[in-house]
Formats: sequence, C-alpha cells, structure tokens
Amino acid sequence: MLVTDAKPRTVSVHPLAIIERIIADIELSPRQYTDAQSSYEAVAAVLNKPTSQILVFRPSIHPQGSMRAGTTVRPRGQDRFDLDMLCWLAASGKFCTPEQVYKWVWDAVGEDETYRRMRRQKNRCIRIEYEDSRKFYLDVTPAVPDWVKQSGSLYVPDRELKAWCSSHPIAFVDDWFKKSAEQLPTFDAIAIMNARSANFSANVEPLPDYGQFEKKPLQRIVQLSKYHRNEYFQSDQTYQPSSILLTTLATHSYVEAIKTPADSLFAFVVRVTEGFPKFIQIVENSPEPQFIVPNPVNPNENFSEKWNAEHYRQFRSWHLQLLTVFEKLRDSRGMGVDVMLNRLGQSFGNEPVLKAAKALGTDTDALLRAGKLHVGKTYGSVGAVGALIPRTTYYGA
Amino acid sequence: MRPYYRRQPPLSMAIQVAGLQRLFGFGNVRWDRSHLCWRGEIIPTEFSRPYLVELDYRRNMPPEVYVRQPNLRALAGERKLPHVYNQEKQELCLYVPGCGYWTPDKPLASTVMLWTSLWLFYFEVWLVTDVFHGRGEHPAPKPERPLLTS
Repeated sequence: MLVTDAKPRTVSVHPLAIIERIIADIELSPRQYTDAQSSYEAVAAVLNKPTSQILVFRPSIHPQGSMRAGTTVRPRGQDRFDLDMLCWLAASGKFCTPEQVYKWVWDAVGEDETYRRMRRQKNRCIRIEYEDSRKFYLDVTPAVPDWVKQSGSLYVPDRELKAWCSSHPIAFVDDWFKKSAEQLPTFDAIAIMNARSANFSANVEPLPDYGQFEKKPLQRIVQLSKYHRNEYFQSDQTYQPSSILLTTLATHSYVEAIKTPADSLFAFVVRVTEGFPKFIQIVENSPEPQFIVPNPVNPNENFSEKWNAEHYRQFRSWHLQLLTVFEKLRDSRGMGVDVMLNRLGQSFGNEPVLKAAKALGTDTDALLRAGKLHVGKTYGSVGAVGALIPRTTYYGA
Repeated sequence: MRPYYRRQPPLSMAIQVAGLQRLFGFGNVRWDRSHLCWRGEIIPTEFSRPYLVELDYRRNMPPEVYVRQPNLRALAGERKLPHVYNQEKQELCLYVPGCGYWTPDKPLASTVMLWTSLWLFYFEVWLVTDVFHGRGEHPAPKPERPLLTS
C-alpha cells in the first residue's frame, strides 16, 4: 500500500512545500493507518467466527478508495476520516438479492455485542462508528463477484435502487492509479540551467529537499485538488465533484503530462491541473447535455452519471480558481515570503497556512542548530548550499 | 552558550574584505585600514523581496548591519520590529554581544553576514506568524563575568 512513514520535515519556502505540510497534517498518519488496519481486521474476524452466518461465503475485508490509494484528506471541520472498506463475499448475485446480502453482513456484524452498538445503515455500506479516540469511521461495503461475465468486476448492493451496482474499486487503485503513480515526471535540464542564470526558478540555491514531494507526485496532486475542492465548496456541497472523479481526471492528465519534460515540479503540477477538463466527455443531447467520465477499469460505470450542466459549470469555476491560485503563487516570487504565505492563506485557509509557516520556522531553527543551514553566494540566500551558518542567538527586544 | 573565548589578534581589514568578496561578491565594498563598508542586495529565499543591506565596520568597534531598503516598519504595520537595536535606523541585532558569537578575529562574511540573510528570512516569516523563529534573547543586564567552572 502506498503509505510513507513519517520522515523528519525539511525546510523549503516553496508554496508546494507549504501545501505539502498542510496536506501531511490532514491525511491519515502512518499510526492512524495501522490503527485502521487492526480495526478492519477485527471486523473481519467477527465475520469469520465459527458461528458466523456468512462464514460459508468466506468474507474478507479490503481497504478501497483513498485509503488504498494513499490519498486521504480529512473532511473540512471534521476530526475523522471516512475510510472505505470492501467486504468481499463468495456469493452469487444470481441466487441472492442485494437486500439479502446487505442484511447478512449487517446481521453478521451485529452478532458481536460491541459492533451491534456501533453499526449504522447507509445506502451502500454499513458504517462502523468508533469511540472518539479512533479518528475514523469504517464504511464497509458488501460486494459479490461478477456472476454474469465472470470478470474481475464486482457488484455491490444499492439499497435505495434495490439493485446490484457494478463496481471495480480494487482494480481502479491497484491496476490503474498506482501503476500511473509509479511513472514519474522528468525535468528539462536546459530549462533549469537557463532559469538559474536568469532569475530564481527551479532549483536555484535550494533549501534542503526543495521541490520534492514526500509521496508520489500523483498522490499529492490528488490530495491538493481534493483539499482545495473542500475549501471551495465548504458552504454548499450540492455540486461538489466527487473524490473518485477528481482522482480519475488527475490520473488521466498526469499520465499525459509526464510524456513531456517540465521546467520544474511546480510547472508540472500546473500542467496536470490544467488538463483536468480534457477528460470529461460532453455529449450534446437535448435538452440537457450528458457528461461522461468513464471508470477506466470498468467503462460501463460513469463517474459523472449524476451531473447536469450546473455541475459542469461549477466544476469549471472551481478549476479556474485553482489555476488562478497557482498563477498568483508563481507571481509572488520575489515579492516576499509573507506575500506568498498570505496568498496561500486566502485559498488554503489562514489557520493551516499559519501552522505550516510556524513549523517551517521551527524546522529552520532546528536545521541551524544541527549545522545544516547554508547561505548561497549568488544572492545571499538561505538554503542547502554555500557557506555554513554558525549558530547564533539574536539579541534585542 | 559559553561566554568564555580565547582572544586572538583581530583580522586585518584586507582579510575581512577578501572574505566578503568571496561569499558576498555581489555587493560592493569600500574600505581602508580602519574602516569597511559593504553594500548589496540580499534575497534571502526564492520568494523573498530584495533587501538593500549595509555592513559598517570600524576597527575596535562591533560591526553594524542596517537594512536601508525597504522600510521594515512599513511592512510590520503596527508592530515593533523584532531583534533590532533601533526601530528608526533598522539596525539588526544579530548576536548576543560578549558571548563569543562574533569576535574581531572572526571573518564578518562567515558570521555576521550569514546571520543577516537568516535574520531577513525569519523576518519575512515573522510578518505572517508573529513569531521570530531564530532563537533570541532580550537585552538583560550586561553579561556577567564568566564563571570558568560551569
């Protein structure tokens, strides 16, 4: 699974590095990840008790969605993650109805005294609500294999529709998202060298680890767009694009963008983001156009099935806003770190930016104390290269 | 912090100037045997604004570092500037005097000037966070006579 261990933070004043600090603060930490893992294994153990009514279906639980992809973002104003789990059952949709399968799993979870009080019914999943100390809910979705075409696809019960819905959540992450994330962008050495002599750009006198994401770039781009979407749609989520839709658009755009070398990681992130709308197909039906974002591993599934023209319009204005933010950040080069931080605060929230800026200050001091902070010769810039700064204690009120 | 240091003969102005030309060669130095003045634009990070800085050093005197441009107080708004000797003149306090951080036998280029770059970076972060992240001390009674056993 794509989870990185907590690494000591490095210092960089680049806006991407500040954004990365913000995201690292609102994603599932390695510890919470381990907690979640033991929690879903405990649920699986209940379903597999010798007395379990569904033992015959050999139930097993697998993380899906953002937990599987390593792209979790804690919802705004909440202190809990919604973690999606798949409860796989060797049952056939030919012989059982969606409601039956849902009820079997619901009852099997309830056979345990503790879980009986913690389970809640949702449309497609059973939510398990833990005590406050565990910072997540587990949304357990029952699923059965494709009994019609014998493909790797799955069917999940939809209680409102009273029907089986085709789904392919594991392959989406394992066969498509992760494989795409493995490919990394390349950078144009000549552009970087030119930028070096002309002005500050790319890797000029970098602070340690400048321009490096701790996770795979695709994971961070997905998290960045989900986070900014949450900020943008905070007061009204009616037209908010779904996470799986954003993940799909970002991955398509990423795979296209890595074909050409970029001038910098920042330029690359902008290029990927610019490409999002290209992967929404619009069919001009009357009276309403139809929008199609197929599931890449299951073309019959359309992630924008519920979209109308207003969804699309709102998506475009969110997308434009995100690009404008990037542009403003790029233009703040040479205007002051404070100007850049304030601009970040306007679109990513003042509080998280303030917290990240303080952490940057603290980390810089720690680096100084560790004898790892330098000043470069070209502009006297603080960074990873040049003359080593000796310790000092600033004086005066 | 060790308040005790060995006294070495001061570095000559020529050696101080050579150091500045090596590490801060983008600025200009004027100097004679008893006085030097370095003036140049420091850009503490890629996203920082340029700061016109002046280092003034006279023999037998502590070095003085001023920010000539921009007006730091205008940037700070209502707040008092952190770690300066003088709000009007924008003279930076870069080290606790008398504790051996800087002594006349040390090159200005590899001490005071580096702390200036870092001061400017901390200043820009301070503008947003209101916290000066470099460690600092507020003026206290004069440094006491060092105790050799500590």
